[in-house]
Amino acid sequence: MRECKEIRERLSAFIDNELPARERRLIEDHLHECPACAQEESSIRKVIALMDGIPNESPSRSFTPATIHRVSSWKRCSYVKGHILMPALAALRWAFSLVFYPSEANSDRGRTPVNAYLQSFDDFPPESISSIYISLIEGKSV
Amino acid sequence: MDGSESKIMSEVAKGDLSAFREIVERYQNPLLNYIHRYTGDKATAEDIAQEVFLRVFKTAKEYRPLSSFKTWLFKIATNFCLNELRDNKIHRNTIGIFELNEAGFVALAEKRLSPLRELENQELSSTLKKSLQSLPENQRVALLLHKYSGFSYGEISQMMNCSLSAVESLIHRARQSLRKQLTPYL
Repeated sequence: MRECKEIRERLSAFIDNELPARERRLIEDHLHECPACAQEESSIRKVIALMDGIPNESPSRSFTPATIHRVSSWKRCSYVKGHILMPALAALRWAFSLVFYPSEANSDRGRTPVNAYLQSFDDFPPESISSIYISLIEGKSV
Repeated sequence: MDGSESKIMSEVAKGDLSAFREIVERYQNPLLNYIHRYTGDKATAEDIAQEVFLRVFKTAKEYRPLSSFKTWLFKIATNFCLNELRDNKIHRNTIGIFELNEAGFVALAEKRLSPLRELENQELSSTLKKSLQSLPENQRVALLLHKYSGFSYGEISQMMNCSLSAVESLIHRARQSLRKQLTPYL
């Protein structure tokens, strides 16, 4: 019985030709001797044959053009984002820092002052509301 | 590995839309059928297939022709089905085993005796689809990849990031479950 249980566990791999030759021969021999396991194998083969009953579907006519359109839209958007929006945002940020933090903007060209202040969660610009709040809860004088 | 596909993909990586169209036309049928059988709904399957192709375009630069392009494509689709589809809770026409037994099998067993073979085939096809939908996601994916997309257990284990024996077990359990549900037809 134990052998039957083990054989049955491997029947799918046997049917799918996914077993090494030696193991395959063992199962073949067992199926010749054991009608119950042979019945089990036959019913699995029937399930596999029944599954052919699901017909293939063709994509709708609009599928290819719609997919190409979607991808080309994404391509356009990513071009606009990468070549126009991001440089424009970077320029705006630089202009902002030039107006509001002129000393930092000149001394640290690689980083905008706002980014520099907010690099870690508890690193807030001095005299900002968040900075005052953190100082208060930490018991420091403001 | 198909040399022509890796060449096409290198063009896609440069943003060539006509190369991309070739990929879509070559793979839309098998991909759509795979996703359709997974979701059970054609419109949803087309939406997801579009997402998969869009991801192919976005990640074309990451494609390395170490395994076949088909394996890479279906891995993306499988990840989509197993992770994002579940996370995004996209509606799927799922039906429980209990529901299927209650609602369908008495009628289906009677239909089997009917001389209208065409109707019987339609019913069988519908029952099969519903039975597939009732399988746990991992079992369904493994079975579909093997049965309809022709992948070996080894390729499926790569796609699903699991062992060969796990794939074997998933496929076997899926068939056992289908066998129970399709008893009137066996």
